[in-house]
Amino acid sequence: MTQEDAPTRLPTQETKTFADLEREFVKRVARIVWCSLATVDRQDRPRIRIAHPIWEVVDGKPVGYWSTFPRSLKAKHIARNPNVSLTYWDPVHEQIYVDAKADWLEAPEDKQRIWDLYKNTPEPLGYDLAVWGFWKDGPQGKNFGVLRLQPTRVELFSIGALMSGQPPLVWKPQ
Amino acid sequence: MTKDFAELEPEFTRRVARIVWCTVATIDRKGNPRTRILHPIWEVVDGALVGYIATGRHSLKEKHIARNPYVSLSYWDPAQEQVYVDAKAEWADAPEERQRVWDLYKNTPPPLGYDPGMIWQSGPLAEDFGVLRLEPWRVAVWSLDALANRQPPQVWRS
Repeated sequence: MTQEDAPTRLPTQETKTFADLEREFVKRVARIVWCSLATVDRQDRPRIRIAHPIWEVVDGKPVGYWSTFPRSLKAKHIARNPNVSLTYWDPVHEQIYVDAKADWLEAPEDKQRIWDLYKNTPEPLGYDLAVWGFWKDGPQGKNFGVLRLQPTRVELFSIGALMSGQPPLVWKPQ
Repeated sequence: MTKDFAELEPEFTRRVARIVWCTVATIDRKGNPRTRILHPIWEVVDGALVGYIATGRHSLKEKHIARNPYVSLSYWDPAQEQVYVDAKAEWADAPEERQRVWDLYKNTPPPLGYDPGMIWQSGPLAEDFGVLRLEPWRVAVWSLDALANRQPPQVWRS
């Protein structure tokens, strides 16, 4: 069962500021870590893969960073349509849905900063990206890219909350 | 890469039966991707994989699929085993097909199977119950261990 399948569709509750969701968002991301991330391919079809982004709150808004390969199929998808959709799910059925716009961080100092953000964040969310053979050349190596994710919508969904009558919480930038 | 789904089938079936829930992406009316969690069920018919999703009618995703029938699914769980399915979706509206998929959910052992009557109290032929049929064009089975060892995913294509 999902919210879409609820016999009586419950409304979502919109929050004014991201701060209203932040604690729960951070808690779920730190626990679930991995998400499904959808892009639109060159034939206008959706395509999903599993991703491991990391998040900051900048000027009261969430910003995600995803360490990935700059010359991948998804890079071609994002060049054509920068909109992506993410779902965090785990077996306790606490979900986060994020719709976002993606762009590449190109500045060497930004790539270094995100590399360090992964390294300095406690595990399992944070880790040393250099464990991967393909990133042994570090943040300035040719295989390393950072996609920045700027959300246009964030939803916290939970079956437990739904059963106690609390609608999913939704935040959108003003 | 293989054209014979039988090569992936045991691992596909094992993972789906364990993970049960997956993320499903559709393309919205503006051409952008949207994802949600759903609970499909699968059959192999004449050697080809076919999926079904019991779902309410008149949802946002119904509007998406009317405009663009392509969907993309990912199964993942904390054991880091992944299954990807890219498919074309259409409604299976025939009453006998709705009854058959209803029974397939009901007769499959839990947690993959469940009684749809818990959600759709008016039964399989009621107006609010729908069955989306998924015809895959690509299936991939992968794991984090495989990535660490630089092994490519096992891929089937139609």
